[in-house]
Amino acid sequence: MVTLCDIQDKFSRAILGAQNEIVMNEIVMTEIIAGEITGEGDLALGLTPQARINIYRNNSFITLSRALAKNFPVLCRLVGQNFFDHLAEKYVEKYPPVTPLLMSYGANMPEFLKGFDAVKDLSYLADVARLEHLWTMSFNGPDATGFDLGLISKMDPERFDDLIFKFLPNMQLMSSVFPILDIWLANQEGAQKSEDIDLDSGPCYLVIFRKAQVVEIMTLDLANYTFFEFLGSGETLSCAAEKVTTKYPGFNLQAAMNNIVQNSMIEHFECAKN
Amino acid sequence: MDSSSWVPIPAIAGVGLKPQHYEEILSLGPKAIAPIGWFEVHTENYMGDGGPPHHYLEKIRQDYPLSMHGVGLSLGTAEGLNQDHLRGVKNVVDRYQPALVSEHISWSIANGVYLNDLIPLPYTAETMKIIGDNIDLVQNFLGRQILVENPSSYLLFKSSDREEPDFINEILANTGCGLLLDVNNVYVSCQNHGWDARDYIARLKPETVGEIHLAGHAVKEWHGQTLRIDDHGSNVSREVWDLYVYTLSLMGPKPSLIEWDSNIPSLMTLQQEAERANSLLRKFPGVIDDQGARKNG
Repeated sequence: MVTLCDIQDKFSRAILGAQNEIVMNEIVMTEIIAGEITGEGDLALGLTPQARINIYRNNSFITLSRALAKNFPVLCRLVGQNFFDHLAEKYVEKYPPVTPLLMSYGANMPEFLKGFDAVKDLSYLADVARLEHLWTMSFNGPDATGFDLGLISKMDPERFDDLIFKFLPNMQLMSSVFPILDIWLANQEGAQKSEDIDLDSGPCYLVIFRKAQVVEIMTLDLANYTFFEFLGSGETLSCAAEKVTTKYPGFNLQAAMNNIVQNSMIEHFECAKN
Repeated sequence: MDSSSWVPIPAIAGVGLKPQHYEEILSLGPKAIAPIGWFEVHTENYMGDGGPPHHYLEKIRQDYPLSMHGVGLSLGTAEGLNQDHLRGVKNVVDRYQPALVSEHISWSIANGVYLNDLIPLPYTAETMKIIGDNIDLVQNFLGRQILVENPSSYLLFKSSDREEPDFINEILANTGCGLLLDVNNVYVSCQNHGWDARDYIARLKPETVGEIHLAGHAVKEWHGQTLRIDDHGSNVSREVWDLYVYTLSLMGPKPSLIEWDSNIPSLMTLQQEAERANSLLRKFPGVIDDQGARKNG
């Protein structure tokens, strides 16, 4: 007697590997007796087990492709729906979901695109996918708990040097050698498609975060981006400022801190020395 | 289990909550969107850490009773429930305190892979033991009764040794869970397998039914055969409304959900479908009005 575990193992492999024959023998083959189906011809009794398994295979792949298209709308627009469907099918075969939470499905898309022959010369696509995944992470990321700026103003200014900031839990940093934000903006729904994005126009440095319910993508210069990286890794304010200023003498600490505070990017802070 | 913690949604129409309608629902308010009396969400869509889904559901929950309908627990899985997922479901159920929590009589996970489909089970003693143990585990973990939904299916397993309505009745008796009777699924499965839909429904026990689902389905030509696919992407069909009336005539009024998950229509269209369900519900005794209904949320 075949066990449920066997059936589910075989069925799953049949769907993901397009090998219906593995499980075909477990499926009822309905015999149609001539003349039995009458009237509207409405019954589906004559379907073979092969065709019935295909319904499930199609449904899994179509709905998972849709989940990917929802998570990577710009990528989908850039390569076109037909090619995206093909790419998504290959993605699902290689990285089928291991959790029912599909809101973040596709974390391996950037790596996958780098190795996908048909697009591997379009290396900016992987970075577009990376930005879209970070956007999704920020969209669904934890809510900010609300930070009281007044706490800093009550502090002895001499202790500012030792402050360590924790950024918003939904904040992400990303850099690319391509103008990814321009590409992303030009491919938003309703955007006028720009034909003249120069892929060699230089790198971009981005911070992605959620302000209330809206995901924001902000462009930084390299000095500010580096400052964010240092602060994000737990460096004290003075340490981060000193390292950035040494490398980028034009760095404006006051403007950088204003930007961070005005956009409520801080979740909380602590003092390195108590 | 403390049965007093389970406050049922009254027997009026609700609809599936969609992000496209969040703003409209909040700006119009409960009176303006009557006859929609309650909302159902897919549990998994609210299992992210934060962000807009929670922001809107928190607000909508304040004005309406809520039902949480899961698609990811894979109750019929032979390899054991995904514990992380179960914990996630509990977190969101604890947070929103829905009036109903439901899942499916099917499986979706094998070898750790989630197939994103509700795949039918062979109806055997072994399956009964597996799904029964899984449902026990879920009800104990959540500390409440759940409803389980009858499947729509396109194939049957040779190893099945009992019929679907009997299998369902046995699950309900063994676990104490309730039935989410999806009338569209009954219709689709019966058409696809040549079963008698009225006989199927007549064999179920009215007192076990905690909710009814109504949805549209697609009719496809497939390998020269007509096949009905449960895609929740259109108006409820005439045949399903007829079967719904038959169901109400046997079971009395039940909370009834209009499910519409693809080709999402306007809120107005959902209101019209909800009103159609309400007008049928009013023909059977015991229907509560909308105002009384909301008090139970």
